[in-house]
Amino acid sequence: MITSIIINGILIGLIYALLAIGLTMIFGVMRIINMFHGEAVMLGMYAAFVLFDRFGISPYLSVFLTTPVFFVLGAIVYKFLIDPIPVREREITSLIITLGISYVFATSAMYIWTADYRTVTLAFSQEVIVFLKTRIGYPALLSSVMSAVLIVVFYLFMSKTYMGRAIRATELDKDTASLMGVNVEWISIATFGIGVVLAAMAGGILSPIFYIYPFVGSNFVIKAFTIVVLGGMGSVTGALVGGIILGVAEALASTFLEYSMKDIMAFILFLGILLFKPSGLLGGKTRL
Amino acid sequence: MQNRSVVPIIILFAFLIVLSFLPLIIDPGEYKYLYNIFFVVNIAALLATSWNILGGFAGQISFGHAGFVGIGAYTVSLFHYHLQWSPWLALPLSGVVTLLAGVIIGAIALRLRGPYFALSTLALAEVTKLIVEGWRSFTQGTQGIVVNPTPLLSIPSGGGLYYVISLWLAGFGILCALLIKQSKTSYFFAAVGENEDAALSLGINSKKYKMIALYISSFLAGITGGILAIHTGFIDPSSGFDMVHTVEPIFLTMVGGIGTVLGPVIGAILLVPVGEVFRSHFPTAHLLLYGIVLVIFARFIPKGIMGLFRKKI
Repeated sequence: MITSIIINGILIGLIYALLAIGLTMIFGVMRIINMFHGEAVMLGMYAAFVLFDRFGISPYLSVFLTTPVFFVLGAIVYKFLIDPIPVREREITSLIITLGISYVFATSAMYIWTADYRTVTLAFSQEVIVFLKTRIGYPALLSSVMSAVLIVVFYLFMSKTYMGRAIRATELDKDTASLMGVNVEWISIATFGIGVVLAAMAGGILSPIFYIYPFVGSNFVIKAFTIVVLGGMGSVTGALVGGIILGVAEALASTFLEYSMKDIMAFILFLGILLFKPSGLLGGKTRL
Repeated sequence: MQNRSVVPIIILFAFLIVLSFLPLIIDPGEYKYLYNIFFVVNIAALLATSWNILGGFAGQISFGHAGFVGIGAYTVSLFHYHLQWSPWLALPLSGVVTLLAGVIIGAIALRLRGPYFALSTLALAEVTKLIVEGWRSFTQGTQGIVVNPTPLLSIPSGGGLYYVISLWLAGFGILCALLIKQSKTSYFFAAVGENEDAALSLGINSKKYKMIALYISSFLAGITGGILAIHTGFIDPSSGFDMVHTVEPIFLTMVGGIGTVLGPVIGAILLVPVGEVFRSHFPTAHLLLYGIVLVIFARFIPKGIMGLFRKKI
């Protein structure tokens, strides 16, 4: 009983972690809280839905096909709407601008796809795997494994490639990074693009196991924020830990408390951490 | 520079008195839609003024005003539902109860700064909504509560009454903003909002001023919720805690001019009718419009319409 709750919690937690990494990365490098992160997830879900519905492409494949589009979207938003704001006002103004963008995306989605609930039903959607006496839906397992793989790939990208190191250098100290020959402006644009891509990928991976509707993003964004503050802003391993904690906490809450308490867990964790350990569970210094 | 002067207050009251006679000239019974728009403009101006006192004057961006509106709306509804109070009697209480909620919320959220404050107000508003949804025996949960139309001192409820009440409530909000702007407190607000560390180093008790701003703001937002519940005649968690109550005041304040007394009012007068007309023709299109205009103003015209006139009123 308890093992199956924890296993299911960990599986959903891996997807939550992927959901949060884009947000934490943008915050880490640019100190910007991207309020349309949830809407980027939503657009990723719809992209997966459309490609599956029209062309029969599996969401697990199509998340890679749509990456250039989302990268360009994020890059454009940063380059034209956020980068030109004076640094002193950027923290607050970017909050309001990205909030505005979230509304533009959500309402546009409503006009394009209507408010109907959509689903991506794969051939194996109903199949269940039993592992340690735990019933796990096959799509849920596949989504979790894929999230885990993407997190590892992203971790390697950040630690092994030039670009990843440049992003981390910018995160630590913009001026020094700039002196070392890092093109800070381009890195910032790319980081924003990658952050949006990660959100959209999480959306695509979530599409076989969640309902898709225009305002679905607001459900995910608060979870992503929770994970980010749990793990410490800007930390990838922190996001992984935070995601799993939230996943398990939700699974436990929905079993032992009322089902509606599941959604409150994210907020309680969120406020608790902000109040008692604002640097995150892993402490402020840990990065990556 | 602001100096103490009674002139703006006299002008405000003159406007309120003159506008109060409007129902005698234009019949509210005949022009129901028009008076509906007037009402929405008034409460939008009140809510935006409330947001501006916290977000504009004191520089604390709130993403939780939907929570205050919801608490205010539920205060009126619950007093009406459980104790059969006249909603008009409960209206002032909606401000008081929301103020008390603001004290609790402030104790939690004001420990945090900038974006963290904004996010924690968002989370607290959502938590409140989930509590209202879950506590079915007390709040009826997602079923909602009906608020029966009630005459106020033998004045029958209707467009004219709602219009005049909401007008004076908006006037009260503007008066609060005016009095703050003309007082020494506004300098402390500005100092805390601009640079909290610098304000602290000058010996300004930043927390105290942030709390004052939050309390006034939550009181006004609660009243907005109360009159909204009376006007709609029905409240449920998704309408009371609608995110629109958070986004609309930000939008109106940013367009009108953040940190000015008149900015939120101008924003409401200019934009709410447009939004309402949009809404009646294309449902939810006003949200798209809000989003686009909000981005354009925040990015290109950060001081809003009031910024185009250089002198701050």
